[in-house]
Amino acid sequence: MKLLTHNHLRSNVRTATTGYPLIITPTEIRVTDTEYNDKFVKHVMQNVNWPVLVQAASQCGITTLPPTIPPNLTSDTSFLQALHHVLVNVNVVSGVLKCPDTGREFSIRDGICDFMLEEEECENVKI
Amino acid sequence: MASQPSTRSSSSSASTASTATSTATQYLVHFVHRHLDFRKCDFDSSLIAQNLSPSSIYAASNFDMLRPFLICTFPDDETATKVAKSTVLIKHIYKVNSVGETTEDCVAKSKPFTSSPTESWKIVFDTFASKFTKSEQSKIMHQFIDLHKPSGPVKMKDPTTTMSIIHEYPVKISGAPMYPRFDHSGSPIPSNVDRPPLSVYFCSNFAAGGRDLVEKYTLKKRTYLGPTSMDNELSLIMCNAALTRPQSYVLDPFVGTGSILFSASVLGGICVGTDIDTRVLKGKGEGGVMRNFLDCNLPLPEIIRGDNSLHSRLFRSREVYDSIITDPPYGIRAGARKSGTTEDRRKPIPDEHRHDHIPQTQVYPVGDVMADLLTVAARGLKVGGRLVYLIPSLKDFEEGDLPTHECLELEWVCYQPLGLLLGRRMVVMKKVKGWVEEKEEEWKEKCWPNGKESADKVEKLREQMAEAAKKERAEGEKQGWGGKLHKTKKQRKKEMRNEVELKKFTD
Ligand SMILES: C[S@@+](CC[C@H](N)C(=O)[O-])C[C@H]1O[C@@H](n2cnc3c(N)ncnc32)[C@H](O)[C@@H]1O
Repeated sequence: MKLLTHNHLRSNVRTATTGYPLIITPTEIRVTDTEYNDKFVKHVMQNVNWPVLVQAASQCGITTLPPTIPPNLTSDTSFLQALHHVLVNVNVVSGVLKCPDTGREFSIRDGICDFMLEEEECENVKI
Repeated sequence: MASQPSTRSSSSSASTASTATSTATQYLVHFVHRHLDFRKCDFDSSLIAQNLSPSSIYAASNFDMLRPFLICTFPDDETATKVAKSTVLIKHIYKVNSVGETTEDCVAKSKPFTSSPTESWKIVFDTFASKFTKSEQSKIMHQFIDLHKPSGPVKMKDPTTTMSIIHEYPVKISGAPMYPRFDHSGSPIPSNVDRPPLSVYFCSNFAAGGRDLVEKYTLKKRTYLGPTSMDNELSLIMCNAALTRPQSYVLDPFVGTGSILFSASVLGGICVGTDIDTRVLKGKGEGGVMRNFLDCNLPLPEIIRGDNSLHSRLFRSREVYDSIITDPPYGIRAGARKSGTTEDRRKPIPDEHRHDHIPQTQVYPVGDVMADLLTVAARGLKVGGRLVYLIPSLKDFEEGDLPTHECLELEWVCYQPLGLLLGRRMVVMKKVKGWVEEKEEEWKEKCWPNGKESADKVEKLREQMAEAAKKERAEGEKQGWGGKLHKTKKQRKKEMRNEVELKKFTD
């Protein structure tokens, strides 16, 4: 799971209020190397919740992100490159995501997060 | 017929007269003789992706679904090269020297094709939907050579200039030649030998299309495959129709073995996929969805096991994707399921089994699958983004029965026949209106244009398809194809032969 995706994901159980952000407990992290693209980073930035990204990165052992977005962001290529790295290169390969409201845990194995719910956790079920 | 619904104030409404001014360089687009109903969509999508309006490139009235050649103008060579490269169904774009109604006419209008005594050259002969004998070919070539007397050397391998003489003949709606000049044994068919061609083109080879990707990443070369894996050509067509390009953010909510995202990745997309079925994601020892991406050194997609009917609970973000491209579950190959159960057959799960327990699921009606897909697209796409999906359908399926959404405009419906009666359609929709959270339910209710009736029609597709397949099988037996239409080796062989046949006409 990339931290970019983590930034979009929330717990989908019925009883969660916001279910966001999910707390990461990684057991394996793999850093890949993907091509940096200025346009993509600037584009996805618009939808990134910054404090959540900072927290997620630190849960993965990366503590170098500034607490707020630097004001001259667009002109600072080295910052954008570092950001690209954190958003798409850092992958949680295995570990656990925990719902902040309910404590429900979702496993990550072989890089795949499992958000499949038990019957009683769904919304659209007649029980 | 590939249709651009009339609701769309399509670019073709713009002036078409300006297309071919006599001074501008004319280019000749040569499509492959396959997926006939997808060719216009494929070309137009590549133009739009380069910020070109199709009506500024060619007159819509010049496009004929059954003709693989189309005269265009491009602002410059570089643009033409870029467009060619990004298409799936274009073989080549040429620069036009002359076009005639007959060979003689084309020769008479032709201009010198080399410009210096050092310029090496060759001429190749190409015929569509007909054949010329070697001596006929050489005679025609010499008409051009004798007229212009190029002073440079002839060079068969990599000359500076390669000219093509192309004779185009008409094909029938089935794609087969209308007036073959020779029969199978090679004897001339008298009534056809002297039929005039549709057009004769004399042009220089210029830019190759993106066909190399089709072959390079064919399914045959992939380690992880399943019965639902989509062939690379069609998934590339879908990705191009979705305007996927480097750094597009792409979602496939029914990712299965990942074949669509694979093609999106080949085009440079950054991909996210979800699927409810953990077995299809993990595979049986071949390494699962990630395998092929690793093998081909493509960036890994994000894969999440989740239920598309709960998509909006799982993803908080809206309007982030450039493209949503998918082959939804219609219960034909891979049945649709969703979370929960309708019956009270739940048993407590012992703790030691919690880990591998597969939660129960219930049947996910096709009408809901579609309504949910359009809702996910309306919410997830950026304004201007595209939703591209497949729907199996009968030849005469009413396009008015397709699901609609307030935020999405129908752009293309392209039909791929898979037999006499049945086939599938690729539907392309463009997100045109911003998402309003409060309207989610209201919009979803209106998804089926004719209410329950349309939903029911789609619901019945499965039975109809089975019915049609049965009919075709019966028909096949009558004609001696022997048994199952799409499954038998015999039929596959026949299909392959057909392909080869078609290729013969185009190469
Ligand atoms: C036609 S297949 C798509 C195949 C895919 N294009 C591939 O490359 O293999 C449909 C997929 O939808 C999945 N599916 C069915 N119901 C689903 C649901 N409620 N949510 C998400 N995925 C679902 C099935 O497991 C199946 O893999």
